[in-house]
Amino acid sequence: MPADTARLVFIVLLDDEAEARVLADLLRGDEFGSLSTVAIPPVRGLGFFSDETAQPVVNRWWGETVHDDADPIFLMRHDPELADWLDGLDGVFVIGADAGADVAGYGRLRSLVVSGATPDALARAARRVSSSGLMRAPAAAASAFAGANGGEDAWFGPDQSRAQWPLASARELQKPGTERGSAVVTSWSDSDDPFTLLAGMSHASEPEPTEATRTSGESRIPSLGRTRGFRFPSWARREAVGRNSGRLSDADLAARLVERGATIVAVGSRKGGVGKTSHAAGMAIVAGTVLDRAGHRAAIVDANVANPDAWGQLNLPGGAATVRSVVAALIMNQEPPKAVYASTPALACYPESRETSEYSRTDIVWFAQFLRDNYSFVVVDLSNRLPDPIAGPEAAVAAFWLEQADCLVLPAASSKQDFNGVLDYLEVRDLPPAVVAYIVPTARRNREHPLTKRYLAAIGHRAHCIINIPDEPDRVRYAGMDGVPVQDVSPALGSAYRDLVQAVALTPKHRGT
Amino acid sequence: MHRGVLSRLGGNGRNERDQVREQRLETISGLADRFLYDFGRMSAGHEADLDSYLAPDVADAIRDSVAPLMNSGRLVRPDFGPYGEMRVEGDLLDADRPIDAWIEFDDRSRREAEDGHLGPPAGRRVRLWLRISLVRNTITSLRCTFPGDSSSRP
Repeated sequence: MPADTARLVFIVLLDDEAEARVLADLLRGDEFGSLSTVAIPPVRGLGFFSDETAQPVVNRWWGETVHDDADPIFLMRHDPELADWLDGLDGVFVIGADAGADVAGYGRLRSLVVSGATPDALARAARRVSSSGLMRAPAAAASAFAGANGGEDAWFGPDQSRAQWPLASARELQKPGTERGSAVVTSWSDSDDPFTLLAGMSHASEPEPTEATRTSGESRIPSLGRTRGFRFPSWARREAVGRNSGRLSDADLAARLVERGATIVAVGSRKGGVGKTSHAAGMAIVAGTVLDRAGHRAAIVDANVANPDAWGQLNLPGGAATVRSVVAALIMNQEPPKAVYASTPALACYPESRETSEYSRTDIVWFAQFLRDNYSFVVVDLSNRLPDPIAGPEAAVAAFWLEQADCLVLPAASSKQDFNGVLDYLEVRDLPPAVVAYIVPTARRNREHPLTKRYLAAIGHRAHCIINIPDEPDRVRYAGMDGVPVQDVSPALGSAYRDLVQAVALTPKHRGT
Repeated sequence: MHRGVLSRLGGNGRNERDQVREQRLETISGLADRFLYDFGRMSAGHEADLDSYLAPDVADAIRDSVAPLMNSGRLVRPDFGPYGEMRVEGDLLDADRPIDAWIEFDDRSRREAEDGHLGPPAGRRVRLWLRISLVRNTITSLRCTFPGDSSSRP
């Protein structure tokens, strides 16, 4: 497979060319051959990152060899200065080190695995990285390795199966306080460090933790106390959302949405129960909120003709203009009834009427055009059917909407059924670019199951991109019961929906009708 | 035998107590989650609704403390790392008494220049102490320190 289409790119940075070739040959023989490629750049070793005079060569090589969508895995030898250069870069790094080397400096880095120094050991570690997505506890593993490698690789860094490598950013992230062209980003000072400012807050005195918890690990924590993995807001972790860039500001996201023209996003699924309607509502609320500041509007449309009552989340008033009533007015060349607005002042909602049975292609074409004329971002909640114009009213409506859609969002939970459902959907011909909203299981053994990895690789190969969604069914249910948007009860979900909207905004324009 | 099975399955109210503990732990982690989310937003120059879950004096103190940053126009791209640790102390079954929670995580936030260039990550450990009222679902006290920095330890 050529480098420009491979999902994984192993980039061999061993200084010695003969060794680099040996390692490349080992990697070419691995089981991920159909999804990966191996590349040896002209500049290797620490110089790949640090040699400014070589940067034009490296950049040109990168542009010709590594596709923007690829996930690079760098393989190199330990160097005392290497950790400083890798700190802050997005990428997966496999570092070969002799057992006696001091590798503790890598403990603060993410997405990194330390292996033995031989090409065999590096290849073995790279295979594990590519198949598992990484990794385990940070500093402890590094320390353990520094003490005695014992032939086993030491793994550390958080799970990051789709590491991104925005080259420009990587080049620009230099050591603290150094200049980057015209822009100078200095190191932190007290006056602009939020936590230093917070620490200076004179408010309360912190009590001492009890002796048992202060000095112990988890096993000695008192029964009433508890230490648990605490997941922080996902927006803070997901700097490389989508494929090309970091998180856009609200203003930039709104500008991007407006620039690309009216966008119709269909949210579909082959099976129910994956939170399709929640995803649709969540995206629509994010888009409405963001676009409101730019003076534009979003809309959400219920095209789930089989289950039109599913829209509890938006608390719509009775008597709202329905899809049926708007379509009827358009066909009769009359002024459509006014839409109701919910959640944000800029989100128009078109629920479905209960008696609706089916629509023709013309109905949908007219309604889609009406939506494009009036809204910058339209989310269409489809029914749980594979699109097919001749397979019944629900499948037909899904097919007609997909003919009009600029982007398709497919929610996927972590089960064989769900993954197969997404793959079935992606087999449908002439789909718009698909963004898969992957509901990441909370159980690690599910998250890191080899089958999960394989399914995600297969889906990632077919979809435009995969966006991780936290699995918070309780909060989704609570939001449904309370009639509030899910992002109101879960910042993490709100953040994930924002990533979804951004991913949609970054997909290539498909229809433009 | 039946009683034994019930006992093993959590009879005598054990299930109920466990559920209460779990719910209150969820509440505590939710408050911490929300505060960090909002604090990240404020660091990035956005407004945040602190008043809905922070005691008024705490919310005011936080706003005052970060005002220099908010007013400076300087940007921070928050990144609090992938995971942190939370320790909870107190009787989760006694809602009338406050709960203390400590959160530690790696702050990797970066300064951001106007043209989008990013500075080096802050790269230090941050520890937050939160005192939480389960009755009001509110953070009533808060303090930030840096573990390993002896000058900031109590």
